[in-house]
Amino acid sequence: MFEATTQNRRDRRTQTLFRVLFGAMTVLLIIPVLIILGTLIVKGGPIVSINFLFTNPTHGMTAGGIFPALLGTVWLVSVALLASVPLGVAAAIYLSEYAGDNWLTRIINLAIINLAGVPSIVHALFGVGAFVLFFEFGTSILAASLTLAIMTLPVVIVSTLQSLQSVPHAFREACWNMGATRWQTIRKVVLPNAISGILTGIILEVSAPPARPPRSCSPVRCSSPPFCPRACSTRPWPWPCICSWSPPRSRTSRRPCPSVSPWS
Amino acid sequence: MVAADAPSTAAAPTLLEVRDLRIAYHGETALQGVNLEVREHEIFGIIGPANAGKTSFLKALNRMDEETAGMSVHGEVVFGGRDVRRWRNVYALRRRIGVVFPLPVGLPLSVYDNVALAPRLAGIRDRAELDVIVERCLERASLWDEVKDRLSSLGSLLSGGQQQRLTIARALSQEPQMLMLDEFSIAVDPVTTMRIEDVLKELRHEMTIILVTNLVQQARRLADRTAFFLEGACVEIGDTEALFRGEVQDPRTRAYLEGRFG
Repeated sequence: MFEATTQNRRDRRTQTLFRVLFGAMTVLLIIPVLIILGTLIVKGGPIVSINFLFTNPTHGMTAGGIFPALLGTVWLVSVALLASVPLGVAAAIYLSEYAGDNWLTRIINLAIINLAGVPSIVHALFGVGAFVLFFEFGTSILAASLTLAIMTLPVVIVSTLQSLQSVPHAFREACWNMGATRWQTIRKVVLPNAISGILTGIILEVSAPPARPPRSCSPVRCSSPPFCPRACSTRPWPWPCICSWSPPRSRTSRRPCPSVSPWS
Repeated sequence: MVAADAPSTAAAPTLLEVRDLRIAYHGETALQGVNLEVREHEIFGIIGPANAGKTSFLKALNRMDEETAGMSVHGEVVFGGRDVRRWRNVYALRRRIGVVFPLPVGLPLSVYDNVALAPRLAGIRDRAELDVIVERCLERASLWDEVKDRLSSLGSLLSGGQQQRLTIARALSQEPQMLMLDEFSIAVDPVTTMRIEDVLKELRHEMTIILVTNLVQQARRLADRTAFFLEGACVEIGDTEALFRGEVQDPRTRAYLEGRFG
């Protein structure tokens, strides 16, 4: 009764076959990652040093360091975060906690979904039109960051919304029954519970755009200054030119980019 | 059996009066034509099978229907002499009424913060005062001995019975005039149920209690007067002892009390 029949044996063979197949596919996925990482570490490892990180590129970006790019990325991401996170989290809190199920909420949801689906070249053009030209920020980190902020806004909203909605409704009801207002409930119970999810979403989203060259290149390229952030000669700290607007008188007297070192 | 030391509630003033209450969800009637009154310092039981409208009734009392989409309430609910709909500050109204839910809810704060939440919302900041309030509420809810050494542990990690007592402690910290319990014992073990029932018998001296339960014997043990809800209507209200002795007016009540359905 417990001996393996032919059917059993066939089933077991199929089972093993599929296990091996799926395992092989998984391994196949990991191999490229390992190759890339390996090449990076082996070929690039010896070059990374403090010098590399903190000096300017020379000889038309074929030698020297990556300091301006590093600094530029830091500035870009910080300002984009500053612009998109408060706005995104606030919008998500409104949609999750306050909004009723009416036509306005539906329009807002539609707008967010559409914003997420806009191709990045359109974002780039919008950034150029709105920030570089209309607000006259010029090609600056500010314009690029704001464009990036608009790109990351829908993702911040959606991930915050998901974190907020994963807080059980019973908690909110318990607080409301106690006489707490909506904001008191959010502040004391809902937000602290959802904060880890919100932060995870933000971190994941923020690490993505600057690292996605083909897609994010256009928004950043169109609206930001050439690779070397210009240091304002009047400031000691390596402030890049956050805003290339300057009073007309000094427009002609700006120093060309490569000769200005951030530390001068 | 209602305890022998229960104060006579026949002459007590009315705390809550409900006149012709009608509740509908998206147009579908859930409860209609409810007329009853609850006197001070009594335990008022509400029994009935599922879907009778008992929970909706409780929601209408502290205006939680406003937080539920599609729920419409008509009729008058007079609490403490004032129409509940006319209270401009609905949060003040809700603070006077404590609620205990069927499923235990331990908020994801420390046990201390769970009980101190209501006083903090009311503006009490002094740590010493909060300590006193927390200890007193946990004592009265019969939970102090079990948590006094771990007040900073998370409230949502307590056992079900402990969380239910924590909910009661939270409700007590509001210093409510009325406490509403909605089938508090369904997710709780029998020992904790007995402990909570003892707590309720003590609490009746300070506040009024409305006890919704699907355990007929629980109503018999605790309630002074009992109302029988069936399919969206309040069929009968009467003195608990009298009802269980058989002095019922409606045959459906008799059938339910005898366990023939429900």
